[in-house]
Amino acid sequence: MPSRKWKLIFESKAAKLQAMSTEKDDPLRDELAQQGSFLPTDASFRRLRVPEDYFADLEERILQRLSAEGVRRPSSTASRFRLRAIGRWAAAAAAVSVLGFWLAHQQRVSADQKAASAMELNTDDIATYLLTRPEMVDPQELSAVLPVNSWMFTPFDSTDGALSWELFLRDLSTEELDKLNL
Amino acid sequence: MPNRDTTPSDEHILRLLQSERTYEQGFRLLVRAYGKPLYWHIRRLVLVHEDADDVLQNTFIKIYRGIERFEGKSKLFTWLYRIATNEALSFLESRRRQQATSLDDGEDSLVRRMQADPWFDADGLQRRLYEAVARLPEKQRAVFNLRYFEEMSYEEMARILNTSVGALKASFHHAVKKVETYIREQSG
Repeated sequence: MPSRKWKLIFESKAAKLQAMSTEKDDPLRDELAQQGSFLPTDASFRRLRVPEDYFADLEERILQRLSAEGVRRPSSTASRFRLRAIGRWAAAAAAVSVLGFWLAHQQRVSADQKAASAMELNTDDIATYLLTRPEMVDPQELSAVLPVNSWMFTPFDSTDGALSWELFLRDLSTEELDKLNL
Repeated sequence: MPNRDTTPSDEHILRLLQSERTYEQGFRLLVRAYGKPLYWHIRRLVLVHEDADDVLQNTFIKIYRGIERFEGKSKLFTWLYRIATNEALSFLESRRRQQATSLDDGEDSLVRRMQADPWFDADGLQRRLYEAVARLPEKQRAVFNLRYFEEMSYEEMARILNTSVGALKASFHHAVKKVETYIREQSG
């Protein structure tokens, strides 16, 4: 009967395909074949016997032994897992903090550099600028705050003339003073 | 390796082990998932059922005490196999030391113990295969077992035994030759 013939052909093809797929998925057999080994690879050959229900009560027996020997789970297990997680978070937070500090430092350095470029103006420049603009600052007040070497700009009509003269003369040597014949 | 279709995932087991409330449940699941594969791995190293049972229980006690040391850098399976392998090799080493003091031959002693095991009933070629395996040096036996009996990939074996793939391939090749030589001689 044709249907029976086709069934046999189909079964034979299916068996061949199965055999081919099994061959492909057996790297151990391929490896042993390459070595020319005669060791069989079918699972039944390699099996050993074990008492019936050995695995059924394995967990009970192990827990009983743990209990009998007084083995305690380390109390720190949960906390160690937690500590590890906290440690990871702490490391991340530290990294963010370091980055923050670094950025802040960079900004401060930049601000300092701007200030430093402003400092390149010497006090003489500042004093000259201010003295030529009496409308901005009173010259009397200015003389009180400017550095000593800027007092030479103090006008001679100052009410505190003695101090101004004294300071003015301070840079002169004794010989020069004699020559002045004051 | 445990059957992933019927066993809980490693992530689930580890999540349960992280909480004091669910620790025992997590440990039970761990034993259920890995008890069988670890037993067979140990059994083929120590070869006697009673010894395998002892070593398996010791392995799980170590795991119970030290699970917090698992850092997740490797697969849980790899970490457990490493503990089981070390435990089995330590057991064999201590047994060998005992035998050294009693002037007994280690290899023959292991073969005799295996033959006396009521759970060892192999015969013919299978019997000679296991006798040959018992005569392999312990570390080479571990390599042979992982590859031949458990069909583990060399990459996975390298992670468990902390050895290079090349060294493992060479070790397996030599082990196969030794086993075949023994079988031929006994069949002679």
